[in-house]
Amino acid sequence: MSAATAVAWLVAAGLLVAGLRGMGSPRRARAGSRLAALGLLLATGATFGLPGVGEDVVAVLVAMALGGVAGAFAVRATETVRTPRLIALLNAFGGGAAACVGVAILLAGSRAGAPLADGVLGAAVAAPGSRPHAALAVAAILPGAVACAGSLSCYVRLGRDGDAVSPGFANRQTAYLSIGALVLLLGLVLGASAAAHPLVLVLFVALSLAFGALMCLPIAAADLPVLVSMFNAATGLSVALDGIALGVPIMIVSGMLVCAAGTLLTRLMAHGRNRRLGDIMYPGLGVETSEDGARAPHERANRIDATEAAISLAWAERVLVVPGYGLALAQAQHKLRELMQLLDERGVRADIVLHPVAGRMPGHMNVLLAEAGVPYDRLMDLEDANEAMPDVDVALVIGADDIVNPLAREERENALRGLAIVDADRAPLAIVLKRGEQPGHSGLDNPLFFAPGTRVMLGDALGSLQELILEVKALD
Amino acid sequence: MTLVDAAYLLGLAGTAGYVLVGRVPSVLHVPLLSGANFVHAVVLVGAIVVFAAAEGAVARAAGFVAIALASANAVGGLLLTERLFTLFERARTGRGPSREGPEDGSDGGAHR
Repeated sequence: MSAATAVAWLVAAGLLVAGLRGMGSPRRARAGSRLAALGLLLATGATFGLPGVGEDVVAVLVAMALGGVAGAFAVRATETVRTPRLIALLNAFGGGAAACVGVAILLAGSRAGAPLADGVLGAAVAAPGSRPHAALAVAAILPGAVACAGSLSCYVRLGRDGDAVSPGFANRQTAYLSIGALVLLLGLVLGASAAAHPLVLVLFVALSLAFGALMCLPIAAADLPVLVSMFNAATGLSVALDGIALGVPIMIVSGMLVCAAGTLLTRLMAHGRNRRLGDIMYPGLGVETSEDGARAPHERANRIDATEAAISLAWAERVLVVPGYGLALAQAQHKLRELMQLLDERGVRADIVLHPVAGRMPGHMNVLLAEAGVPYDRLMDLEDANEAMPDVDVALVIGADDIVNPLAREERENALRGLAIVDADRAPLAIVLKRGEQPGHSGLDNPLFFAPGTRVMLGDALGSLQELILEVKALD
Repeated sequence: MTLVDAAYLLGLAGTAGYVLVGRVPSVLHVPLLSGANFVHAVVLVGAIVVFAAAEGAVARAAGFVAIALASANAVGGLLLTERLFTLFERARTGRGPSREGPEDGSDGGAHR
């Protein structure tokens, strides 16, 4: 490999890493995407400088043009609402490409005296045709093919409206596991033999594809984007393994980067849906969804940790804070003011809703907040707050219970009926800081805490606010 | 490059990927997925390498298909990511002032 190409690849790898980093922050997202594009352009351009590529320039450009047009057409033809579907399709392209590269490596490696041995691939980890080389290629084909067929399968299913019920077939588990075992067996055979038997190779690829497609079938349509993210990570792994076999460092770095980021993203997405990854994937192994699984989200409050709560607050436009007795008890009013100042610096408008009986003594909260130096114009009364509630991004409930209990609005007789409440349950997201699971003064359970749009962070108000402050400061 | 070198790269890049995505607001999950999807289009490099080095019709064909697929991944991924971030910026700048620099005039009509 020529020195110029090596340097260009190095710079390009840096651009791709920086680009992906940028895309994780709303402010730098656009710049990040441009950096990554520049990185890919540079990497591709540098590849043309490798010995042996020059003679094939025309064929390479033709292939690139064909693919590029297809990719552009796919994006143009898909409406934005169908974005997850489009990502699935693009990932199928990527996974297919990675698998094809693996096949080409395997085939080329099995031919004695092929030009792969020197020049272009001089820097390869293992000599072409050797067993480690074949094993790497086989290990790359598997995730690539699985990602390709799986993503295509997701693509097809996401295109059908109202396909909430997953199509299943009898003895799914048996079929699935036996195909998986067969794939592994064939992979071992291929990886262990220096010369790939064509029939074994074809079978291996076909069964890997089948395995990926089957993986998607039993999964609920609403969970498919999570699966797409997982296949995305699989493509990354495949690219990284191809890169090792070829000795191309930029493929190793970028592929592994996508693999790790994609894995974490998969978990975050599952978490965002209040599902554990296992719950989503279990049906894939044919395990019946239990009754408990379906009921659980309603019985248990959805939790949130300080990091995620801080992120939700920091990227909001408008936040309404609903302080209650818990804040007064913990003497956390100073911390609340500090948090509001931090949010202010980030351009987030945070106001405090003063419920007349917040703190259990009329006027109590006003005194506490005034003492902490919260500006007067940041205090809202109940009516204004409830009017604004649906338009804010987050309602942050701190140590309040009865004054945000939606039961008070109900016709049914109960201890709170008729009490004017802060409609925190009407905010798109309610983050509730509370000390424990016990109900408030009235002794009634609070449906707000178990609502789908509510996230509960357990801990006393002082400690939780301190954590939030640290986490908001840690954001860039 | 030895296998050990490759293992170092895998470990470091994996750690980097994990750290990069650690703090991402959930509104960015889908755009980031699209971005990550674009980054693995770097398989195009490998596709060109194997195509140029391949001998024999099957390997050659596999390389050709790989180049086409990787290019589709790259072009589609870039267009989609750009589109998503445009929508995202519009959503943010549409409501209230943005504190970061001038607005991108190319997406006119976004501000009110």
